[in-house]
Amino acid sequence: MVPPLEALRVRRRWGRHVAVDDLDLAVAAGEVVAVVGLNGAGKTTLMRLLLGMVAPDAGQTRIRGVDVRDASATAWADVGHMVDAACAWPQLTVRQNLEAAARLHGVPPALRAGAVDDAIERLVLGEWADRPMARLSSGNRQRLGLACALVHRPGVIVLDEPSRALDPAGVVAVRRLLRAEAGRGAAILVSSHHLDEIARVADRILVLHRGRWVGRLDPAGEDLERRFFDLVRVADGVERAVDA
Amino acid sequence: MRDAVVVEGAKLRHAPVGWAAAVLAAVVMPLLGVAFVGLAGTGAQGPLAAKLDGMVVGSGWDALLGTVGQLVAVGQFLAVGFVAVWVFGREFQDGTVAALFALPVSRGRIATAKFVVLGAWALVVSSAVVVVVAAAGIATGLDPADAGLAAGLTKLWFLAVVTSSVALPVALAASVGRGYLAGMATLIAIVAVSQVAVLFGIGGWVPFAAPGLWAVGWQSPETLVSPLQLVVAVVAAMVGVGATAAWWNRFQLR
Repeated sequence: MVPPLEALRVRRRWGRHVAVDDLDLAVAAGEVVAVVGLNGAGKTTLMRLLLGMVAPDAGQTRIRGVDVRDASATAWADVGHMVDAACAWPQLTVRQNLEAAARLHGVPPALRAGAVDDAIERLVLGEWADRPMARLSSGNRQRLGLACALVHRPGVIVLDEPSRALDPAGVVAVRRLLRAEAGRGAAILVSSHHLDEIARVADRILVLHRGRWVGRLDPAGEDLERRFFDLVRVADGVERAVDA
Repeated sequence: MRDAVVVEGAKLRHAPVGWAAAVLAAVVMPLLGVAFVGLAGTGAQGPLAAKLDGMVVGSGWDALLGTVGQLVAVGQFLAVGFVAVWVFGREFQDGTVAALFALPVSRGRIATAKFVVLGAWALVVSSAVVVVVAAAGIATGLDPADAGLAAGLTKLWFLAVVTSSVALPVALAASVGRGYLAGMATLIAIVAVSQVAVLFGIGGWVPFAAPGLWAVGWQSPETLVSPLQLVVAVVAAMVGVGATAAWWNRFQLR
């Protein structure tokens, strides 16, 4: 079965810096895959490649088996993402932003109002529904961004640090939301710096370092932080040995 | 496409910048023209009075429409250009451009939707200019039954529309430059270059200067800009609009 989201030996440089180096990735339907890594590891570049925001120097990224450069409007209508920025604008209210996101994601007119109400309820935004985004706290902006990314109930979800700026209640809400989305069959890729939090939501945790996969973490395992740094140290040691 | 137009319309409708620019173009500029005509008729002396004498030619509606036409040629260009820079540049400045990827509507169509909204906004502002000038002229005692009034107002509306169209290509600079700065710098550079072109007598062939020269020509005995030159200006504007949409279809994040 074709994975909804995949990268095939994908590579991307920024100048002389190789941000993503020959990576493979497949996210299956109903699966939450987490990518963890230090700042600059290549997480955001990988997500941008998967969403067609940047073109690979080599390799291919695919949505439902189709190169993202050739993906149809129908294919993109089944994708929700929040990478770099939310699909939301400061002068619009929460409700107006969700209506805009629903339109841009191709939600049919008859379903739009229901989709907006549902997104407001799922992200617990009812209290601020008529408030402009510019006047929201950073945590509520993050909730709005997630609501905009998920308003159309996509089958492929890509989220860069979805728990950023959220309070504990927001973190729990997002965790439940992602598990629910995976439960209905969505393929989900998330990145995070919070290992303990991501372990509670992910089925697989992949460690990215200097643009390469350097190992996996067992979400059910103990002391993820120590194991993460062990993997990074080993990768750095291998690189130094190769350089020498 | 319709959904993208609705979304872009909502973004502009709720933005103070759109309203501020509309007031500047549709209210401040026409009323400034009324004030200039009034001041020119007082027989005052000094450098400002001398400038106004050169600007306000004739009397009655001719003087008012001619003066407002010259102001609209600059004011409308700056207002539409400023809003175009904001509409396109803000997506890069605020980082929201990333959210416009991976959607069923292509970025080229989103750019086209932005132009549709900008065009509608400019048409409304152009019409408002005409209404404000007519109301202000009548309020200052000019004859509403003047035989040439309808033709004069139509010409003013046409000037505002053509001026609006030649301002739209600054969107390309705001897009390629990925922010407000490049767009605003281009807007200012265009005004400066147009002035130089006019000084050298080739302004009629510079799309950005042609509408203004046409307005000046209303009050001079010789025609300064031919219809062909106005057509060239509009075609150049459409090429700029098309180039912007094409760029949006292809660009990537950095």
